[in-house]
Amino acid sequence: MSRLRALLMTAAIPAVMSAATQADGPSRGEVLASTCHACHGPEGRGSPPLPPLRGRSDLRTQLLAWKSSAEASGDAHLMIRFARGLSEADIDALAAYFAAKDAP
Amino acid sequence: MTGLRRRQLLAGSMLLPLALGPHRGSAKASPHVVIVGGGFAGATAARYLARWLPEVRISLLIGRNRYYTCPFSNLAVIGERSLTSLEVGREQLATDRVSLIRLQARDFDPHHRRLRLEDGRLLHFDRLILAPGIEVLPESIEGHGPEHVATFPHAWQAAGPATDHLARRLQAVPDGGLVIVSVPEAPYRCPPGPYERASLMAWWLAHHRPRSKLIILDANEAFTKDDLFKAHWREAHPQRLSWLGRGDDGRLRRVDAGRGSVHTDFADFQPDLACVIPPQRAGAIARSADLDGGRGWCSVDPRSFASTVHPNVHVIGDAAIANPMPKSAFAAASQARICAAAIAAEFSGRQPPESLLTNTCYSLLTPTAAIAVTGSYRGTADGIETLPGSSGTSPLDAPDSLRRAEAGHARGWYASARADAFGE
Ligand SMILES: Cc1cc2nc3c(=O)[nH]c(=O)nc-3n(C[C@H](O)[C@H](O)[C@H](O)COP(=O)(O)OP(=O)(O)OC[C@H]3O[C@@H](n4cnc5c(N)ncnc54)[C@H](O)[C@@H]3O)c2cc1C
Ligand code: HEC
Repeated sequence: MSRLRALLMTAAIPAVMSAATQADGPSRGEVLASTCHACHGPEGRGSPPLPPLRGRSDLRTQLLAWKSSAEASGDAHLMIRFARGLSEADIDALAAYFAAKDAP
Repeated sequence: MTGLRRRQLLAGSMLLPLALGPHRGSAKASPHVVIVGGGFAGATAARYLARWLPEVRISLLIGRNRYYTCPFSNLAVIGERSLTSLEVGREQLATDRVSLIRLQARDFDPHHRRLRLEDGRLLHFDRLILAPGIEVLPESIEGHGPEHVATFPHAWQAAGPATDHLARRLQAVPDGGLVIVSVPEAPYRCPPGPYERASLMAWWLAHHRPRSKLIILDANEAFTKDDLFKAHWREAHPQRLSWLGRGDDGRLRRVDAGRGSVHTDFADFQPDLACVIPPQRAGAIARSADLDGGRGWCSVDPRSFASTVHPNVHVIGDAAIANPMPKSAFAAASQARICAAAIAAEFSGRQPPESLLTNTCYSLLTPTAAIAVTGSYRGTADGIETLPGSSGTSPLDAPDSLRRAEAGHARGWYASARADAFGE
């Protein structure tokens, strides 16, 4: 068996992995948040004129409102389209992720 | 098999781990990921993989050249931004887990998992991530070739001195002169880029050479944000800028470097400046070991960006086939994060989180007005799927205030994307 195949096979058996390695790898919330960092600054710290996201408690309300918006128009047309790409569970994960971070 | 056993396997597979890294003496065995290319894709992959897989060791090959971002380089072409403001130093990418290697990679052996550097040294990898960007093919145009690029400048494969050269050539266009921008057939790097460049050049001509004209010779019939670009051209440059699509004999067929002329099937042009953007393909390293199947670009599984030819080699950024995502810096960084998340999950024995890929391309119409196109995507076993309702552009009928606001947002994105990828 090649080493690679051995490795892949091991990788496919998560139950036997040690606790230390279980902690590795990003959560869905973190992967989702990283898509926001592209514009709102690394770690969501803001990149003027785009506002910071860290420490905000209104993200869920805001993203849900955008997601249900019929038309993608106005200054936030991009945000409306991003919100449409997120499920409600995604929105919860994102809101929790940023709410748990200190405001910049 | 236990976690310990897996670590031993990894340790045993490291043939040359200490030759090139700062990891000498490290007791802890850890996967070695080699990344080729330190542009938006490679740099983002290095930073996110180090964050998401703490025990990883990364060797990042960046070559010897300085790196200037292509995004915003069209502003440098018209003198509205300095070249130095586009340069990113990559020193910040080096950390205790990331070794920066200022050499080119030459080729690799996917079966023995060895990468050969330009100086002949071999580097063993557990995973290889290729992010080499593009290579241009001027020789695919009749009469053209690498030796004539100064005559028909493009500054497309890399921004930098080539951008300055193009800027000087624009400055030299006399009032009443003719500028041509030719667009290759898709796919190519940055689908809206040629039209952004043409818009900014037309803006510059309007201010500095008001009697001059600009013609876009296009090998395509439709292009991204075309209704928005065309509406702007009609309004701002009705007599100055014309676009000839493929159906209007817009396809460049031949150039004559001696005379500086360019030719379509039925028309001959004698411009003062012809910016000929050549056809393109993936950078050479991504075409070794038949990774591109002879197609010029690499087919990947978009859930991890693992090559469909050699699954322990990942290809991200412009070199990968990722349509409907465009070849943009934004998309390159998004793919790099998903690739990093998948590798991190795999080496830590977890299922990777479901992927979300995103893209937004801002294009400047003038230095203070911009439009945007966006989309969100999911990687599946069958390819990349656009999420319903997520894709679209800035509204066509919008007040100037929105175009101005989006030029500001574009600057915010640029600073953010640069910092997220390169740490500066
Ligand atoms: C004029 C212009 C404007 C643009 N504007 C935008 C924009 O506004 N927004 C946007 O999102 N995108 C924009 N783009 C597109 C963007 O520049 C590319 O999509 C992006 O750079 C792709 O990233 P990459 O990492 O795949 O390739 P690159 O950024 O080209 O990085 C690849 C790096 O790998 C190096 N390399 C290659 N082979 C090797 C090797 N064998 N060994 C070592 N190193 C190697 C190269 O030298 C290069 O430094 C624009 C492009 C152009 C030309
Ligand atoms: C392509 C760039 C881009 C990306 C990526 C992006 N945003 Fe935005 N965001 C914007 C723009 C543009 C605005 C509007 C700013 C304005 O109205 O001036 C905005 C506004 C917002 C606002 C409103 C802020 C306020 O104070 O009014 C929130 C909240 C927000 N974004 C959250 C997010 C989240 C969460 C993500 C990731 C899922 C994200 N954004 C990804 C560009 C982006």
